[in-house]
Amino acid sequence: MATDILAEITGMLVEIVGDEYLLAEEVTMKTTFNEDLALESVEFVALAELLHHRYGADVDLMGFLAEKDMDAILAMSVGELVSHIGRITRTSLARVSAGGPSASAG
Amino acid sequence: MAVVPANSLRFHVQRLPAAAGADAPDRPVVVFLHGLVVDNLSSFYCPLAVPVARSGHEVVLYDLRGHGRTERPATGYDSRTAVRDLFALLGALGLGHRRVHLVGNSYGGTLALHAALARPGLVSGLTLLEPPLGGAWVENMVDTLSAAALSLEDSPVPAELRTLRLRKAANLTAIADALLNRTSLIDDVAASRPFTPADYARLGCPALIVCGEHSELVPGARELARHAPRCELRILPDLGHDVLKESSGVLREAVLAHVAATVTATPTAAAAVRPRVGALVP
Repeated sequence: MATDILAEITGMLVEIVGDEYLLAEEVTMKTTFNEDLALESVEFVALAELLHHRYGADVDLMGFLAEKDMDAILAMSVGELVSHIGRITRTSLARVSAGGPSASAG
Repeated sequence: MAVVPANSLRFHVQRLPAAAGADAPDRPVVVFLHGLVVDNLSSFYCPLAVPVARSGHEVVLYDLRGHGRTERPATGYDSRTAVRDLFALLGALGLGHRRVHLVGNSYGGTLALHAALARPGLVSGLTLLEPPLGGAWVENMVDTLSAAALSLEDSPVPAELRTLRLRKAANLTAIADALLNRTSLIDDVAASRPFTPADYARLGCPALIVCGEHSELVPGARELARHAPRCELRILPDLGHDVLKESSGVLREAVLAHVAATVTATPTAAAAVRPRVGALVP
């Protein structure tokens, strides 16, 4: 699952930044937004929007980011963001498979 | 990418929904206006925009004309056009009839004040962080921008930064060069008409001004607080112009309290309310 999320985030970064500007040879879990990708603050905000659209309110990205300032956010590795999304997504799946009202809908 | 066409321009816009269940049509939408040239919507994101959304208000952030990821036309950097951009954009977002609380940083604060005076029925509150008002700010700003323009004109620096793969610095200088040397921004700022005490006196909505203790903009802010009927000035100790970056915790609490207090406020004609001037101790 983490591999899928990493691939999706990489695709979003290319959409926002353009692949010719991505400095890292390859985006991995250890790639950092600031040091490796030289991502600008306004580009991270655009990434946050795409993540919200893709994963929905359950991911609570605003809650995840509320405890940080922009310097701390950009100092994160891509893997930290992937882990957060993975954790929340697994919780949501577990809730559905545990027999919530929407479980029978597939 | 949230790109929204308005006033013949494509704007980069970010909307943050209000905390679940909190938004209601009678609650003002909080709209953020950033500063000039080297600024964009991201300055507000962590310190204010996310907390305001979590407190129960829909939030709109956008990059001003020519800034950040919004299109950069050659003209239209005057305050009148900026106000038209703002309300055209709100209309394009389907928010044209919602009351708004405007939060402006630096020159964005000046634009927010222009907007409140132009559309008093829609602007229900103002938060102005270090707004340049009155005094010699136009002359000082034009001098600073002109010096920066000269240093960037035909400069090899942006290309060299790109060669060195210093992407952020390269982008910053390229945007500043484009805005200062290939648009009417400096001429438009130079042509700004200063506010008058009569302008301030007809500001009907509640306003909070926040300045740094060491900022040269304090006298202009005091002038606004003296004449505007529902205006409070807070001075943050030990800070200069960059209150948004340097005081996020203290500032966040002050802004959240002010926005909450103005939820039910309705614009009024200049009432005889005594202005307040105070110091906010962190």
